Amino acid sequence: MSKISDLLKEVGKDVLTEDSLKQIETVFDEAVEKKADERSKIATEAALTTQDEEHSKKLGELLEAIDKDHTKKLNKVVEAVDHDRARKLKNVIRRYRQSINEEATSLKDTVVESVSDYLDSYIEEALPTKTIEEATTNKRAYDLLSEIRKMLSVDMVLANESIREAVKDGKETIDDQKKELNELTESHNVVSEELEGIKKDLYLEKKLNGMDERKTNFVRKTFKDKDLAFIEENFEYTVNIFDKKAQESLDILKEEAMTESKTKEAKVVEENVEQPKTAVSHYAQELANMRL
Amino acid sequence: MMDRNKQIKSFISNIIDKNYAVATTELKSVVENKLKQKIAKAIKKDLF
Repeated sequence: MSKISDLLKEVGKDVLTEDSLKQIETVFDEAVEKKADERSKIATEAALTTQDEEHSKKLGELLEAIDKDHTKKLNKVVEAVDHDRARKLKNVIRRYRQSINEEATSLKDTVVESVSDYLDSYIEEALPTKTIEEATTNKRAYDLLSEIRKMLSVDMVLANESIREAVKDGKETIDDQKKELNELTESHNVVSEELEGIKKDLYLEKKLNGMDERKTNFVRKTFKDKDLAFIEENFEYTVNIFDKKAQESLDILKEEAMTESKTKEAKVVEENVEQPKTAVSHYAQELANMRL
Repeated sequence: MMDRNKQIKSFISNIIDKNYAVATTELKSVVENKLKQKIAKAIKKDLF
């Protein structure tokens, strides 16, 4: 300041008065101060802006960090609260379910009992117990009376003398008839057997008439103890068998006789043994000795 | 007793299910059993 006033004094010592100098000095000082204020204001604002930005950035980071931390903590808190609430809710559900089940069972039993009681009362009204007892008593008494009547009727019949005699006579008659029937049946059986034997003999006699004794004996022996139907069915077959066997035996004997006669002729030795006269008589003798 | 209660339960359940034909049969059976029980009780009493 002093410099500007000194400079002005030197420059304008002839032109400027003391007052003018003072005024210029004042104006100059004011202008300088104003400018200085403006500049300081601008610098301050710039500094503040820079500071604001830095602080904003730092605050942003800080807020972000705080948010993350809070979020993490809040998540943990929420998880813990959820777990706790879920557990409590489960307990509540279990308790309510148990309570409901118990109540439902109790209610069910009550309803069943009520229905049963209602049915009892309805049946009692429609069909009183007294009536049922009366009916059962009547039925039992009726059955008992029937039994007694049955028993007494038999006793009374037997107790009556005339009826007893009649019953006795009837029983004797029935017994006699039974006995007679048995005898007749036995007699009938004997006669039937005899008739069967006679028929059998007659049939065999008729069939065996004209046959030789050996065949007759064979047939009679074969059909002993056989009934007539069996004999009729098998007679021809038996006779054929006998004939066949007799023929076979005859053939064998023929061969043996022929062999023997040839041998005797070759030896030319006389024997005192009695020989059959002819071959036919020899065969007949052998056949007679044959066992059939 | 248990059978009878079971029959009544079945009757009620059939009524709830609107299965009326079976419910009627169950009801008849219950009533019949009750009557039989009453008759059996009456028979046990002395005749004279």
